Amino acid sequence: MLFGGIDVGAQSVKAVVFDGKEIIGWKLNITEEAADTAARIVFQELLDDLGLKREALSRVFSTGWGASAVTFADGRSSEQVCAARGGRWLFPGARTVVDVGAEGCRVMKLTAAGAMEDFANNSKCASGTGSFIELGAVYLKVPIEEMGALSLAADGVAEVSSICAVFAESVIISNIHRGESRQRIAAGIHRSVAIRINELIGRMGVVPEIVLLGGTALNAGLVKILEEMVGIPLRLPENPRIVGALGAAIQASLKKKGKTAP
Amino acid sequence: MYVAGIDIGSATSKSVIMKEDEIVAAYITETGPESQESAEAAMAGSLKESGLSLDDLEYIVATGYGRINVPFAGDIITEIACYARGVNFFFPKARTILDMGGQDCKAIRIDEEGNHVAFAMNDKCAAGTGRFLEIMAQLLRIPLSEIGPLSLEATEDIKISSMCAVFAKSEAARHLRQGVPKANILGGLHAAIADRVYALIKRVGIEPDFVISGGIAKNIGVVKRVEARMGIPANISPEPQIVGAVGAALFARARALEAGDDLSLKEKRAAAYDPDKQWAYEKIFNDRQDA
Repeated sequence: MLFGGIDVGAQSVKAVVFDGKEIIGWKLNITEEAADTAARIVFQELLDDLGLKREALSRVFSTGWGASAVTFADGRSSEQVCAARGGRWLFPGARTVVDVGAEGCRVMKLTAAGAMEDFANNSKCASGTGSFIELGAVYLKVPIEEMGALSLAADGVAEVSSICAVFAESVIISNIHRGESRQRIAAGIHRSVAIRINELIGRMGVVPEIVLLGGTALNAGLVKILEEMVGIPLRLPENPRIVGALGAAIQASLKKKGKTAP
Repeated sequence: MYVAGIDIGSATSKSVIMKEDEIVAAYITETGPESQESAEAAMAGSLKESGLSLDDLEYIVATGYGRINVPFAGDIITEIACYARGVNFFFPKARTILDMGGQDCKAIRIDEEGNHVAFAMNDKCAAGTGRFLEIMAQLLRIPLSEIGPLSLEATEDIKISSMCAVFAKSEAARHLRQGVPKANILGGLHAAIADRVYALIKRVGIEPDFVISGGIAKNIGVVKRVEARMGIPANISPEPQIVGAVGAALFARARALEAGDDLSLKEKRAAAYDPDKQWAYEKIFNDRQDA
C-alpha cells in the first residue's frame, strides 16, 4: 500500500510517497502560490514523476503551517508529531528530534519506545530559525548557500545579537565598519541561532541520539557550532527538509481517516 | 537664559533650544554610525536655526540611547525622565505616555509634575517599533508617510498572526501575492502593531490623559487603532519627536538655576570639554543617572 505526506511550510512545500517500508519518491517546491494550490502542484508533480495516480495512494496526510489548507488530504498531523515520526524512522535510536525550519524551531523528546512525550517550540520570533540566517546572509551580501562555508573558514566568532533578526542588521553593519571579517560575522550569526536552538534542547533534556531536521541541517557551519554547544554529535538525514512530509506519510500509514490528535 | 536639550535616539537625533518656557529652535537629523557626530550635527542645526552660538547656551542636557557621546553636555539624564518631563510640558494633564521610536517602544505613567512612576519597554524586538513599519512600507513600495492614511482605507484589517517583523513581512508578502488589496494588508499590519503597544501600555496601567510621542505618533493608522483599543483619545503634540529633547532642555534649565553662582557656567562647560576629565565626569553622571 502507498501513502502520501504533504508538508506545507512557510517557505517550501514538500511531498513524499511512502510504502510502509521505504520512501518511494519525494519532491520539494518553493512556495509562491496559496497553500492549497502549492500543495496540489507539488503532489501532482511527484505523482507524475513516479507514474502514479492519486487512487494508487490509500491515504494522504498533511502537516506544516499550512496543513489545514490542503483540502485533498485525508487527515492531518501536527508538525511536532510528524517531525518526531520521520526523525525516528530514519534514526531508530533517536530520543531527541530538533526541527529548525524557515520560521520555526521545535524540539521533540521521545520515549525509549519512540513515542513523543514532550516538545518545546518557538514560532513567534525569527531568532533561532532559518530566517535569522537568511537575513544575516542578506546583510553580509552573500548567497545563503555560502553561509556554511564562510562560517567554517572563520578563525573566531564575532558578537552578534541573539535576539532580533531586524536589529542584528545594525550590529552586523557596525561589525563590518570595525573591520570584522565576514567569516567571523557568519560564525557569529550561526552562534546566535545555535544559542536559541540550544535553549530549547536544554528544556527537553540532552538525550542522544539527537537528530537535526529542516533546511538548517544542510548548513555545515551552523551544525558545527550547534554540535559544540550541545556537546554531542548530531544525526543528520540525507534530505533533512522532507522529513516532516515523511512523518505525515507514516502517520497516514498508521491512522485511519480523519484528523489525528496533535 | 537659553538652554538646550539633545536626544540621541537609535534612528534620529533631536535638539531643542529653549528660552524660559518657549521653544526657540528645534532640529531633527538622522543618527549615523557615530553618535557623537550625530549629536554635533543636531546641536549645530538648532543653533543655526536660532542664530545662537554654543556659548550662548547656559546649560545642555543630553538623553537617549547615545547620550554618553555628547561631550558638550553638562548632564545626562535617562529618556524615561526626559519624556515624562517633556510630555508634561505640552500636556500638563497627561498621565499615560506611549512613546514609539525607531527601534523601541515604551509605556510610561507620570504624575502631575512630570515625574515618572512606572514604565515598561520593549527594545529587544522590532515588533511595535518604527522599523516594523519601515519594513512593511518597503515591501509594499509605499512611502512611509502614506501607509498610515492608506491603512484607514482598509475594508477589513486582515489578520496578521505574527508580531515578529520578519514573519509578519512574509505573511504580508503572501497576501500581496494572492491579490489582497494593499490597504487591507496595511490595515492588518497596523492592527498588529497597535495590539503590541496596547499590551505594553496595559502593563503600566491606563489613566487619562493619554499622550503618544515619538515618530510613530505621526502615523494616523496606528494612532486611531491604539485609541480604539484604549477607549480614550490620544493627545499628540505638533512635533512628537522632540518631546525627549524638550524634557532634556527643561532639566537643563532646572540645573542651570540650581547651579546659581556656585560654579561659573563657563567653567562647568570647560570641565565638560576637557578630554582628560571626560571619563571621570561621565562616571559621576552615570551614577546620578536615575534622576
